[in-house]
Amino acid sequence: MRILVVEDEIDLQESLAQALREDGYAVDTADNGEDGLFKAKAWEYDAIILDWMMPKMNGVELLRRLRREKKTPVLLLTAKDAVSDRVTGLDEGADDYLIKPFSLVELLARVRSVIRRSTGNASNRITIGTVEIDLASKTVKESGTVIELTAREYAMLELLAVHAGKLVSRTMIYNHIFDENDDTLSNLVDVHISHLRKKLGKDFIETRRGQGYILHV
Amino acid sequence: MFSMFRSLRWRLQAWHALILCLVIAVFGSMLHWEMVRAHWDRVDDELLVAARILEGSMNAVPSTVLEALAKDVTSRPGPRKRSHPPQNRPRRDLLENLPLAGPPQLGPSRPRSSKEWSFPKIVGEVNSDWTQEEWEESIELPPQLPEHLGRLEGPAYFVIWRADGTIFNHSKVPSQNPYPTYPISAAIDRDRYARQQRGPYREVFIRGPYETIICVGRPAAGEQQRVASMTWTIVLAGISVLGVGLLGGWWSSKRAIEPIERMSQTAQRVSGNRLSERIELSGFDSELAGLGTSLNTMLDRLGHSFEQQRQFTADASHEFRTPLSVILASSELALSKPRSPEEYREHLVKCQRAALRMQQLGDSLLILARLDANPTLDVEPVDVASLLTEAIDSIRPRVEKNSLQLESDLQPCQIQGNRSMLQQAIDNLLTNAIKYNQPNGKIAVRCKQVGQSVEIAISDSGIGIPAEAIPKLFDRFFRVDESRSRAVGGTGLGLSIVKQIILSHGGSITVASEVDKGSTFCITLATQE
Repeated sequence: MRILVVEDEIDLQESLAQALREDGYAVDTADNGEDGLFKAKAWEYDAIILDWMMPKMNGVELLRRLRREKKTPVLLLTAKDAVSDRVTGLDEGADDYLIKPFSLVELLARVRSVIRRSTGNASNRITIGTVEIDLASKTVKESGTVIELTAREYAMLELLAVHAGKLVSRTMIYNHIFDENDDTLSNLVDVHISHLRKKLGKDFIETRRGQGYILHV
Repeated sequence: MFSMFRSLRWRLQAWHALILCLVIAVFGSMLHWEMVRAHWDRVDDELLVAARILEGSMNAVPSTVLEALAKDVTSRPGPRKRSHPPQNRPRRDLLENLPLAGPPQLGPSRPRSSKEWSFPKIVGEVNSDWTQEEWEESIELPPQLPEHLGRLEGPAYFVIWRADGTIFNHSKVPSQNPYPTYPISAAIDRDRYARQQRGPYREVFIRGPYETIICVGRPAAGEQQRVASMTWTIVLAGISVLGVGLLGGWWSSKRAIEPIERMSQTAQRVSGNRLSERIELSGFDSELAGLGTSLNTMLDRLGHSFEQQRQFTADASHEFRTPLSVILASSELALSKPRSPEEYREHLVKCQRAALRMQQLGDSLLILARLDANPTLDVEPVDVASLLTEAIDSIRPRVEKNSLQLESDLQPCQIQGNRSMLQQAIDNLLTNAIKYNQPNGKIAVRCKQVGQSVEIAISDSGIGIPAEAIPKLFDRFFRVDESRSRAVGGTGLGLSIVKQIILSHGGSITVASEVDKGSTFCITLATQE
């Protein structure tokens, strides 16, 4: 899952990005509204964490412009706590709202929540055959046994599982698993897929030549 | 229930009633007194005319005769029967023997008859039923007297006393009415008359010739009744005027109190959360409309300052939240799992930076709060040139670090002011001049005496301020460029503090600026506080 953090307070932006990366997300950052809007339009993010008060273009203006083109889930961060401000934020298209200062744990939970809702899942648990994926604790069980996965492996499995039954292209995998700073080779995807097949079963992931991968429900 | 009487309206009404009662009582009693007096004056005047006629006729009678006549008159039998006036005739002889003098000059002169002297020779009944002839024949009264007495209401009568108090002559008096007693003669002198109300009778006394006292009287029950009815009329009129007055007072006090009640109701509705309420001024009289307008203006200003305060609190809270969220996020992240010393260090540095920013913000807010709470400062003579020299010395390391050029032109001048506050203001302006300057830029500090004031100018060759930002420049938490300001560590309060300090010194601050050329802040302070 790939997330864009738009926050002008550099120290906070760094902490947020680090926390999200440690939670297994690919994270891009922007420190003003114009850059943020550019990136949000250019890439397919799974979620955007957006600060309200920013130089050049404020968060709500960014949101208004983004919503003309994209439905990317947006979590609005702000120090404004008046009800009217929250209403404005939500009405302009924010999917959720978090008031500064906040707990990182809560932020991560809300990020999961907006992503889950945007992919049409009601629960944090996805079961495919005998494999059970817990999106909150980021654990995978196969017939009740915990399977150890690396962060990248997990991220890839999660992406496939969230879109279970649908074709997931390689581009999509690149877009959602790696951030703007990653300089990975294309065959890395194949390596991760083969590792997943070893751990979860040979037929668990189906390869469609030249198209991508699919998980069968 | 006593609270009712403490209300303004009841008190107004009570005072109104009291004053109205007094006015009506005074006016009514004066009117009554005047009317009664006029009424009795009219009655008395008629009696007085009769008395004067008698007096005139007596002028001719010598005192010796009066004395001689006394016995006859007083020993005379009771009043004659009214129906037989001729019975009085024998008396005429006696009286005719008297030496006669001319008649008194009363009224227009009349042709004199053989009976020239005109004192009543006998006492007879005075009755309006009698004809002129009957009068003239029965008693030889002055011809005007019977005519005059006849005009009076009721059976009139007269009594004449000698100086010693014995009765000299009298007419028949009404049967139930004894003779009036001899009055205190001393009280009556020649030019005046006395009068009395004796039961239902009205009597007038005058001093006649030879120290006699003449009394003419008549029953006056009718007049008394008229006076009584007059009294009642005045009392009833007074009561009705009082009633109308009280109703009018009640109505007018209601009219006067109503706007006040409306104001009070509005004032009750107005509270901290509902400052938008305003007093409805339609239908107010000018004085109350003035009061209402003042109250509304006050509410406007109060509302405005509440709004400012609310905005300020929201802004301050916002400013605190940002560094606070840095501290919380960094510490939470650092503690979420074991990390290397470098990582911990990195997070601690972030936390420290945020904490320092909060400290700076807190200090600034504290200065503003102090200035707001106590705009009058402790003042002392301040040498502006030395103040600026000190400020320049303290920033010199930063000036050199940023390789800026600093020039100063400081003329000696002194003002009354608070040294540490002024130092703070100058320091803020110099800090801005450094922060927003161009590389290798210039800073110029000048001060000079201009008339009764001192001008301090701080110029920089910095990035300048866009014209549209200048009106808001001194607003709290206003930043021309958020990102730049944050990068150089501004709180957004520096210039608000400067302005507040200068204002509390009774001075003014202006700014002239051109984008990419630089800005000049000019402070004017009066030399005398």
